Amino acid sequence: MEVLVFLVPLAITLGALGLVAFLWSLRNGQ
Amino acid sequence: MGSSIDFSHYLKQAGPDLLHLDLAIEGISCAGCMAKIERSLSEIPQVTSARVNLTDRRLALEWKAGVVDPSLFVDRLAELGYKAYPFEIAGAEAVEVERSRALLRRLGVAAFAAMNVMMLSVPVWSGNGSDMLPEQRDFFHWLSALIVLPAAAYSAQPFFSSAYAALRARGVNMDVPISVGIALALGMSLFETASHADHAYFDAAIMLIAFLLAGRYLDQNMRRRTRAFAGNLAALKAETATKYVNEDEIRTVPVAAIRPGDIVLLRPGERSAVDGNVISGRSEIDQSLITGETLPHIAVAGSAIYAGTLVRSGALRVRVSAASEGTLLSEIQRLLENAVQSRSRYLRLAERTSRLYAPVVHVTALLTMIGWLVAGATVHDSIITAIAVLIITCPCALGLAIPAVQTVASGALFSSGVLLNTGDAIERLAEVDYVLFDKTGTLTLPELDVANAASVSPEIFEMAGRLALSSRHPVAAAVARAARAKAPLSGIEEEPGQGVFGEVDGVKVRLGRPSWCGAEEAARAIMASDPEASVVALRHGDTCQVFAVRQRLRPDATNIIAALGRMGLAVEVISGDREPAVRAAARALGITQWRAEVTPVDKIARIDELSRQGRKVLMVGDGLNDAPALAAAHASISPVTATHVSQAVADAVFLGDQLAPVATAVRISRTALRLMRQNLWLAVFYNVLAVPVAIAGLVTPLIAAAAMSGSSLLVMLNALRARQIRRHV
Repeated sequence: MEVLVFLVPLAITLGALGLVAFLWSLRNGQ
Repeated sequence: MGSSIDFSHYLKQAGPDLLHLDLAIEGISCAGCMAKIERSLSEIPQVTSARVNLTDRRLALEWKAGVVDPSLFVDRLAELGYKAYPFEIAGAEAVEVERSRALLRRLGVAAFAAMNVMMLSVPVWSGNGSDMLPEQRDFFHWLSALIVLPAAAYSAQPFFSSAYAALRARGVNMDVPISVGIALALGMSLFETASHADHAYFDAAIMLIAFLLAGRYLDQNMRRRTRAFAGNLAALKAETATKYVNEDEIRTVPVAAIRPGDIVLLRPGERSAVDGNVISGRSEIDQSLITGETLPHIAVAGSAIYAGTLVRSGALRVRVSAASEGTLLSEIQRLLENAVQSRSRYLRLAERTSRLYAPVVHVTALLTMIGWLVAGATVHDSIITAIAVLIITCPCALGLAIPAVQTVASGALFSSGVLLNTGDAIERLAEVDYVLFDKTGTLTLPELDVANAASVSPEIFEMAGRLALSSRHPVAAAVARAARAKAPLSGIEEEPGQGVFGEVDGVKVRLGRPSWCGAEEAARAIMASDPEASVVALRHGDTCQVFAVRQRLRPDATNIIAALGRMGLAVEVISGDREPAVRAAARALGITQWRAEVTPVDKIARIDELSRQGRKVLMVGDGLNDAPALAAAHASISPVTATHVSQAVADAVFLGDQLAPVATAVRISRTALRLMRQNLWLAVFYNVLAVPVAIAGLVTPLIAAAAMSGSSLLVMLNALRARQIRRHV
């Protein structure tokens, strides 16, 4: 279960990255 | 005197030494075109950015100020095979674009948050009650809260603010139950997490927000798209005016750049794009677009000219006046305001649903709580169950039910040549059972045509057509168009007010007034049998031919009128033109009900009379005199050639020479309304299944999530059926 300590933040970071990419593309007029 | 296109009105300062120009482009159809245009324009060294928007068919250009003339870009696009027109994004459209962007941003945040929370929820669902430790479950719940609370605070704002506005106006809209549901679900989940309970509804809450935002975005996107198409339409018409600056200079400028007090030149064959008064000149003018009357009038100094007037014989100088000064215009304006006010009382299907829906849901939740309290449950459990009822009934499918159908249906309408102006047009078009047609420019084509073309020998017709190319008179232009003439004859001169003359193979030819060509007899015979027609004569040596030029019915008008009858719609012609003309058109189309010489006030009176009888009237018209009736009718459609005022108040605009889009619009709208109702029933059906489970206190977050996405999916799929309508038309 200790593996969660890495996996959960990792998953959330990936999600946040996706969101940032989405907002970035929106701002650049796509 | 020189004349050049003036772009300065459209140029915007994008930064220091950077200029920006928006162009509407005709003929873009694929991503390939997009790349081609962007590449080719970027090759011009001064251009810093060239971006094509494929859905809106627009190009945004930025370049370093100074050397480059904007017409270079238009020329370059013409080389590639695209026509480009400068245009200005209207204020209303800019607002719609900004709104739709903001919604998309919120939707993105909500969707990403929902995905991440789902990921955290799955282990809780599968681990609950088996091998998951309570600490781990709490940890997952807290993590969910960490993601959902800020995401919801940001992305659910449109619902909160709209609900707040509705409550402040002492009303209820769909956003009130939504906001209450979201707020309570989040509050309860937070409390439950803090008290180490089994269930938290963070996932359900954020998913609900995401689905609802998707519906909202679809709705907004449709509105934005109709605005964008309307904007392109205006630009593609490329309306320019010839501005008189001084003795030595006239300039071709976009109509938007003309101000009251300016002087514009109107030459024969030109349609006025402005309102004003004649300063000098004398001409026959055709005001059929304004009054519906097809016979020409004479304009002299002091006469009022309205936008849409066609100048037939001489040139006029016109001083532009502000739009509301003319007597006719201010009358129309006043009628319009009344009509628009009465229409805004129409309640959309979505509004009617939410009026019924909100109280029912809240009362059900309240009764659930009271019921459980009476049955002896704790206060905590009763409240939790009541909130679960609110969450499960939150109008997820209901929020999607109508916009999803509207989006698909407006796409189907667009591909059959109908552009919607208003969001609720589909609902109103579907309800009509009585159609009022204007005659001039609606049942008939706006352009003149040669009526006796069949009785003219092809050689004579061809010669007349080529000769006519040298004249700017609209009647001559009609002959040239009907003869499909391409090559003008050389050495042709114009005799002002009479016609054109010249020599072909040594034989003298003339085309013009019958009296000037010695063809009065034949002309009188035609005038006697067809008083509506204008005549023009051709003399070629000794032979002589008279052409009867008149407005022609739209090619498919008879079929479409019959089709409307089969669809259960009563049809009536209501026109400002004189009686014989209206009677002839009505008879040709097989319409028994018609009225002639009708004023704008009478048109509204007729609509009122019909609505008192319980009929829902669809008004189809193009003229300025139709505008108040278009606004007063239950629903309205204009051809794309209509005056600005008419187009702006009509619910929909149709393209092309055919009348078919009118029937298609009604048919697609009827199917769309049926699908909307079906969707609402689907949503109700879902609630009927889900609410008893919720009242019984058996809803877990898993059931809530599955029910929500299931019903939303069902509604979306049902909406897609609106695409199939096209094939049956």
